[in-house]
Amino acid sequence: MAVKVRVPAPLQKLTGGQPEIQGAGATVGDVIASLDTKFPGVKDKLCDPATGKVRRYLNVFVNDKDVRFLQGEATPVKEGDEMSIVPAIAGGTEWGVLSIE
Amino acid sequence: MLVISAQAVAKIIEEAQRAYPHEGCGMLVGRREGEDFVVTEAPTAANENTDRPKVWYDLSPEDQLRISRDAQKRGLDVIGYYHSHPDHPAAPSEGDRSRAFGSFVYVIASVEKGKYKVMTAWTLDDEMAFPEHTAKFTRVEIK
Repeated sequence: MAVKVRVPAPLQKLTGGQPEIQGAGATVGDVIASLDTKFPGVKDKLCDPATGKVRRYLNVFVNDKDVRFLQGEATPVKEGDEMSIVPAIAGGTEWGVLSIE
Repeated sequence: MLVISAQAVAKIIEEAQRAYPHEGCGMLVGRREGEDFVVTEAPTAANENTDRPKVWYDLSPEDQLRISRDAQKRGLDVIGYYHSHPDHPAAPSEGDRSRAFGSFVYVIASVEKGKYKVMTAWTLDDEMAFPEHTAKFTRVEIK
């Protein structure tokens, strides 16, 4: 199944600057594996090599659903679905600010 | 260099003051021109942190998905993020550094007693070097 995958700026260096790429597979995990054959290194950026799971500071959506609330990497995808990789953006002053002026 | 529209600056200030005493946050939409970040819009996003929002923000992933889709439809992209530091300087924190991604520009706006003071911009000197990256922030000139 062909799936459109939207990638954030930090990953676009691996995709030749493309914000949207095509993947294929029956599950989210399959699609990520297919991306790595076209764009080597993408899988290691997306998944923890030790567990094979999507890194905790990244969110993966299939259409409008976060796959963590579905079946994770085993979430099925179908032809025409859109997969989005979204960085989990966070921070704050909890531990004070850095002195790097 | 960060080249940012007056409209986007006004939006960041508005959100930083509105969210006070909590940290407010949003996204920087525009395009890259070589090494420069050209920001035309600064849509707000929800801070989903509920247990310590005065000192931490978790930018809503759903807002991020919606805003980035809308930007890409118009030929733009999300090129960075902003958040406020209530009653703290406009400098990155260890929390900011530990959760930052390379390739983005991060704007930090300080707010003192509810009133906006100043904003600064930063980039990380490395890419997504997880899990516990050691990358450092470099200050970016704002124009």
